[in-house]
Amino acid sequence: MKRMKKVFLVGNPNVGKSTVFNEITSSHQHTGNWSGKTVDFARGEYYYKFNDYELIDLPGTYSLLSTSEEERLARDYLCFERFDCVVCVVDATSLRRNLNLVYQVLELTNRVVVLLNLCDEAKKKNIEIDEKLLSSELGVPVVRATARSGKGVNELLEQIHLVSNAIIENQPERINYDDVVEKQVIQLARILKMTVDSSDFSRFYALRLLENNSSFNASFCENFGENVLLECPLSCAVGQAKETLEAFGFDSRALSEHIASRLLENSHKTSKMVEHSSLSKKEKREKLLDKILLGRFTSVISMLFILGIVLWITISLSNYPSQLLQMLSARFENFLANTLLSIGVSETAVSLFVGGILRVLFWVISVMLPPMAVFFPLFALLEDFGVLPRIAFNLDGVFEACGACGKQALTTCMGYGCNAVGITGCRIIDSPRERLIAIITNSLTPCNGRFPPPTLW
Amino acid sequence: MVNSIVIITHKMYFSYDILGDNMTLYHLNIDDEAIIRDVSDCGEFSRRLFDLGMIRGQRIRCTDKALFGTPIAYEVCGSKIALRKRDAKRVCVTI
Repeated sequence: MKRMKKVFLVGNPNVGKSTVFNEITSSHQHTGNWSGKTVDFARGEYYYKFNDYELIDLPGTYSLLSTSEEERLARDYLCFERFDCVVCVVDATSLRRNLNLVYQVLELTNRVVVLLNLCDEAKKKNIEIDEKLLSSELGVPVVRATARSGKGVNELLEQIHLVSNAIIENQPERINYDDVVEKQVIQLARILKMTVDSSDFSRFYALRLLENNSSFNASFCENFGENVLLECPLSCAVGQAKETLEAFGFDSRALSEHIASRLLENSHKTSKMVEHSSLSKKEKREKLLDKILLGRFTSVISMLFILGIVLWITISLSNYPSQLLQMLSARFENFLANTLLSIGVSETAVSLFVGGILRVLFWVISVMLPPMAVFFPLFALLEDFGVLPRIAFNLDGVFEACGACGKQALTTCMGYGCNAVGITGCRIIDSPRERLIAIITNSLTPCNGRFPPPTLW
Repeated sequence: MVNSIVIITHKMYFSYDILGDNMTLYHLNIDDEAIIRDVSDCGEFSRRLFDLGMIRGQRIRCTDKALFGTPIAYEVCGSKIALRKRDAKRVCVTI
């Protein structure tokens, strides 16, 4: 029996990894529009051209170098597990930021397929990307896709097939560091290859060890034995390399700065080359938004005004479908009660099921469904226009004074629609303390289901 | 009787001559440009700043200050980054 091929999905948060995953495995893992959704990795299997594949959806991460707790999981998986292919999902609307991660993954391995997702969004924003040029620049296959509508998925499967079965051998463009650094890295990588791990990850390992990246070191020890960094050939080599680098002015911090700057330079250069955009219209709109929403006097007024308008529209507009639903459900109840009575069901049973259970169910639906159906599209609209991040930015000062984070303004507003969504949305807050505060206080916002009853009286 | 409301705004302007070497991102006024000189070392956090493009020699521009002056938005490497006051003070710049 053939071994199952392992394929990893990596990418920045919110680029549609889970959507891609669902399209391929056609399992319906629930996807949502908030970051950090994939905390337990989703695994799925599929079959393509006589091979079984296992697809693993890693949590979203911006970088493999600096890591928060959740990103660490993704990095550890990528760096220490064996795989046959990595699919880098890239957001076509912000190529430059995303390419940074792609270059980092390319340092690790050459079995990479880049998936250019959200191409429809990019088109809407007048961003053109030349994927052939990108492919030749990076030295790996690039697939254009709009995962939401399933476009480009077949092509992706084909490329994964080619790469993971070594039918095509990628020759990725490696980043060149300063000669001094390069020499030490190659030397250390050779030693790593002999002592610890024979895979082609050694260059990446060497770079991280020289950087003295503490969270990476911890994971490294976890995977290769507790004392691996203290044992002789490796510890001597690392120490020597560090000393040499320090003599040339690259202490661990200068080195990480150097590495980060080379990565950025590369992604900058490449994105400039392959991306053609005419952003003038959008820029104008952004400037105007900045002026209104961040202006000293207009900001508070406009924020209150926007939130007021949204709530007002929600309440007044959802009244109509609410009343309609209530009327329909009352009729249905009558009808059902009459028929049940006429076929001889006892009156107690009918009043229990129809007057009790059904009525409560209908009541809850008719009160809660319409406001949500109105509120969330409006909220999505605000998000699309970029109003929400600006509000979060503006209010962060106040929230900071309370020991919380400005992003909480968003989750609290979301809580007006539904508290469950608001609380899961709290994952966008990085600091654990601030997140906990947001989660606890979020349930104090009256959600749509809670504030219609008072207004109905 | 209160018949008029006075709103006091305190726009802080920093004199660059006095600050000299101690100048940090926090001291930039809106629309000022500067060059990053050093990011003071604070472990993971400074690595995060590197990732965002806050690297020695990069041009950086202060674009907005929030209502209460604390998160401040900067444009660097084509993306906008908001830093809190205490974090902005960790990045040394020269005009």
